[in-house]
Amino acid sequence: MNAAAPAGRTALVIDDDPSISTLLQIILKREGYTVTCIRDGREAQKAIEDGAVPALVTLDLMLPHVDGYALLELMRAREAWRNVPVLMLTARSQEKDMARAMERGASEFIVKPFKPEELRERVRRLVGASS
Amino acid sequence: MSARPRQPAPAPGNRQTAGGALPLALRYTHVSLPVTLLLTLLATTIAWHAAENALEASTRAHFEFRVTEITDAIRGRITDYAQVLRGGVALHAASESVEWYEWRAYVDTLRLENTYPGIQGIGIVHRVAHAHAGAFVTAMRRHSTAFGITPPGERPEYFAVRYIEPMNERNLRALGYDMYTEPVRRAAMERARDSGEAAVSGKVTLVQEGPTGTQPGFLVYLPLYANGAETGTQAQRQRALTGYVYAAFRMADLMRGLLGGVPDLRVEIFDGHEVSDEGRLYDSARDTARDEASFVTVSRVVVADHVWTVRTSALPALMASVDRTRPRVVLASGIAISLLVTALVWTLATTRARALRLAARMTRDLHQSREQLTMALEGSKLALFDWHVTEGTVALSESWNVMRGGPAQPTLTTIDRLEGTVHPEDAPRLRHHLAQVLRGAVPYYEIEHRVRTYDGRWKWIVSRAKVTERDENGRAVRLTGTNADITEKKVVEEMKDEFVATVSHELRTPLTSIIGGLALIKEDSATLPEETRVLLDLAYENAERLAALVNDILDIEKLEAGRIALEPKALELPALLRHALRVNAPYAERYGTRFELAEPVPPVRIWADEARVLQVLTNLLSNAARFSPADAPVTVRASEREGRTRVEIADRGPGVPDEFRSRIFTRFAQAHTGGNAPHGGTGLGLAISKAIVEASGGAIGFESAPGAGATFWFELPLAR
Repeated sequence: MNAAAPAGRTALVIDDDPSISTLLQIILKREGYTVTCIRDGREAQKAIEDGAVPALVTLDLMLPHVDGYALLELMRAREAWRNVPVLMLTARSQEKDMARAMERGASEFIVKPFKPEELRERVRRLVGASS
Repeated sequence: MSARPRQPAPAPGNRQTAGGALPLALRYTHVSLPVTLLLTLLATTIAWHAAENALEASTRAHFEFRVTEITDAIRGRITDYAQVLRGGVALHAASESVEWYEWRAYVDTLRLENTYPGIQGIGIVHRVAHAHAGAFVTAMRRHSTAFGITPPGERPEYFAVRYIEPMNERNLRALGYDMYTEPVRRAAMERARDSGEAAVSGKVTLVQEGPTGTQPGFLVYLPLYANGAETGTQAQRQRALTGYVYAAFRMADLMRGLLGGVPDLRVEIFDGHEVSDEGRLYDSARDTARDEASFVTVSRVVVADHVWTVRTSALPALMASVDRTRPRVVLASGIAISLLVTALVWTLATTRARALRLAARMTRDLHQSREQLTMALEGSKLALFDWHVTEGTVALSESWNVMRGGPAQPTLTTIDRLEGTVHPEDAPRLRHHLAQVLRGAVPYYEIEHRVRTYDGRWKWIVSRAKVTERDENGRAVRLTGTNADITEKKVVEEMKDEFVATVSHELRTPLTSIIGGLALIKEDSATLPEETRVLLDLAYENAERLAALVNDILDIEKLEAGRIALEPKALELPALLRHALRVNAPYAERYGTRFELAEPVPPVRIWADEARVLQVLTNLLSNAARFSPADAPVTVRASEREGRTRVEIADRGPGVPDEFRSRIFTRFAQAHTGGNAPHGGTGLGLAISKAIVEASGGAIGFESAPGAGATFWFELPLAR
C-alpha cells in the first residue's frame, strides 16, 4: 500500500472543497505522502512563492481569488517548481479547459468524479516519470 | 429554369372579378331564354304563314281551275245546244213544211232529258203575217184543238210557237205564244234574224212556268229562212225569215245538269256584263246565307252572241275540304322545336351557370385555402419551400427571406446556393438526411440546423419536408416542406442545457467525495461486519451509477447541442473492433456472456473520432451483454458497402418490444422486459450513440423481432 511512495515525500493539495481535500489527503497519505492542503488561491500563491517545493501537486481549476491557471503559470515560472508533477482536477469535462491547462504546464488531469484507484494510477505514473 | 414561384396572396380584385362574372352570366341566361323562345316562335310563325300562303295559293289555283272548268262547260253546253238547233234548221231545209210528227220524231231522237239536260223544250216559231193568221190557226187546230195565238190582239205579223217538243203539260202552255211581243225575246229573235246565227236571249221567265217553282230561263234562237231565198245581206235575211228553231232553257235545270252537285262552290250566273240581282239567272246556293267568301271570281262567258257574267265563290265546304295538315304540322312541329330549342338553351344555360357557379365556388375555395395557408404560414412564421430536385431550383415563400433578415419577398434560388447558407458544421448532417429522404429510405425529414442571415449571424431553423412527387422510376422530382425559425427555442434550450450542465457539474465534486470515500473504506472492508460490507457495496455501486449518469447527461447535452468537437481521423476498422471487444470483455463476463467477432472484418479504414466511436461500441456492446441470455454469445459483424462500413452487434435476447421501437433512441427510453431486474445503464447510451453516429455523418438503427434477439447496427463513412 505505502510501498510505492518514497518516504518523506510531500504532496500539495490545492482544492477549495474540504471533502475533496480530505479524500485526496487520505489517498495520498496511504501512498506515503506527507500532505499539505491549501483551500484558497492566495494561500496557494504564498506557498508557491515561499514554501518548500513538493514532490506532487493536485490542483483544482476553480479556486477562490486566484484560479488554477494562474497558479500553474506561477509554478512553471519558478525554476524549482518547473518540473513538479501537477495533476489537474476538474469537474469540467470541456476539452478546451483541459487543453488550456495542459498548455500552461499541467502534467496530467483527472475529471471528477474519479475513483481512488484512478487517482493512484495517475499519481504513480507522474511521480515515477518525474523522478 | 421552370421555377415554381409561390403565388403571392391573390389581390382582392381578382376575387371580385370572379364573383362578378357569375351574376352577369346568369343575367345573360335569363335574357337568352325568352329571346330564344321568341325567335324560334317567330320563325315558326313565318314558316306557318308560308305554309298557309302556299296552301292558299294552291287552293286558289284549284279554285281557279274549277271556275275555268265551269265556264268552259257552260260555253260548251250552249254551243252544243246551238248545234241541236242547227239540226232543226237542217230539217226544215230538207222539206218545205215540217209536220208536227216529224218534229216530234226529230226531238225524240235527241233524247233531250239524257243527252241535253236543262232544255225545257225545242220548238219552232212560225212567222205569220196578219193576213194569214186565221188560216194558220185553223190549220193548227186540226191536231191541236185549243191552239190560239197569244197574247191576243191585232198585229201586223205574228211569231207563234208552232211546235214544241217534248209535248208535255208545261210546254203546252207555250204553244201559240207570240214571242215577238215580249221585248227580251224579241231582241234575241231580231239578232238571230239579222245575223243568221244563234242568238241567246236575256233573262226571261218561260211561259211554261207554272205558278210555283218558277225559275229564270232563257231561249236560244236560230233563224229559219225560206228555202232558196237570198240571205246574203241583212235585208235579204229579214225578208227571207220564215220563223225560228228555238230552245227554251230553265236555268236551274240546265245548270244542275251541267254542274252536278257543287257543294263547295257557289256559282252565280248573271245576264249581261253586270252582277245584279235583277240579272241573276242562277244561284247554285240560293238557300245558303251569303257571307264573306275567301275566294270570289267574276268571269264573263260568251254564249253564242250573248254574255253572261259568272260569279264563283268558294263555300266553307271548299275551305273545309282543303288539307290543312301541312301548315298545322308546320305550326305544331315549329312550336315543338321552339320549345325544344328553348329547353336546350335552358339546359345549356343552366349547365353553364352551374359550371360557372361551381367554378366560382372552387375558385373561392381555392382563394380561401390559399389565404388560409398564407395566413397560417404567416402566423406560424413558417417558410414554405419547394425544391425541384431534377432542375435544382428552390422556391421559398416570403417568410424565408424575412427569417434571414431580408425584405418580405419570395425567393427563387438554386439548391447549391441555398446550401451555401447552411452552417458548415450542420451541412454534412443535412446532406445525409436529405439523401435518405430522397432515396425513400425514410418517409419524412426533420432536421434542425443553422443558416446564415444577411448580416452574417446564425439562425437556427427546423426544416421539415417530404418528397411530394416522384417520377416513374421512383426518383424524387419534388421535395416540399417548411422551414421555421427556432433560434429562440434554441436559446431557451441552450439555457436549459447549460443549467443541466451546471447541475451535473456541481454534482461531480460531491460524487467524487462519496465514491472516493466509499472506495477507500472498501479497501479496508475485510474487518467490517458482513451487513456493513453489503450496505457499503450497495452505496458504492449506486454512487458509480450516479456518476455514469452525470457523465452521460453531460455528454448528450454537449452532443445534441452540437457543442462537441469531433476529431475524426482514419481508423483501421479491424483493430478498432478488436480493441472495443477487449475493453468491454469484463462487461460480457459480468453478464455471463461473451463477445464474438465474425471474421473476416473488411480491412477498411473509417473516418471518425476514435474515442467517440469506442463510446458507441461500448454502449452497444454493454447493451447487448445486458440483454443477452447467459452462454449465448453476442456477435459483432462488419461489412462494407458503397463507401460506408456497417457494424452489427447481434444478441439473442428478448428483442425490442413493439411499443418501444419508435422511441428506443430517445433519452431515458429504457425498456422493461418482462420479469427481469432493471438492466442497469443510464438510459442515455443509445441516445448518445445516435448523436455521435449522426454527428459523424453516419446512421444508426436496429432490427428486432420480439423473442428473437436484436441486432443494432451503425454505419460510418470510410476514410478517403
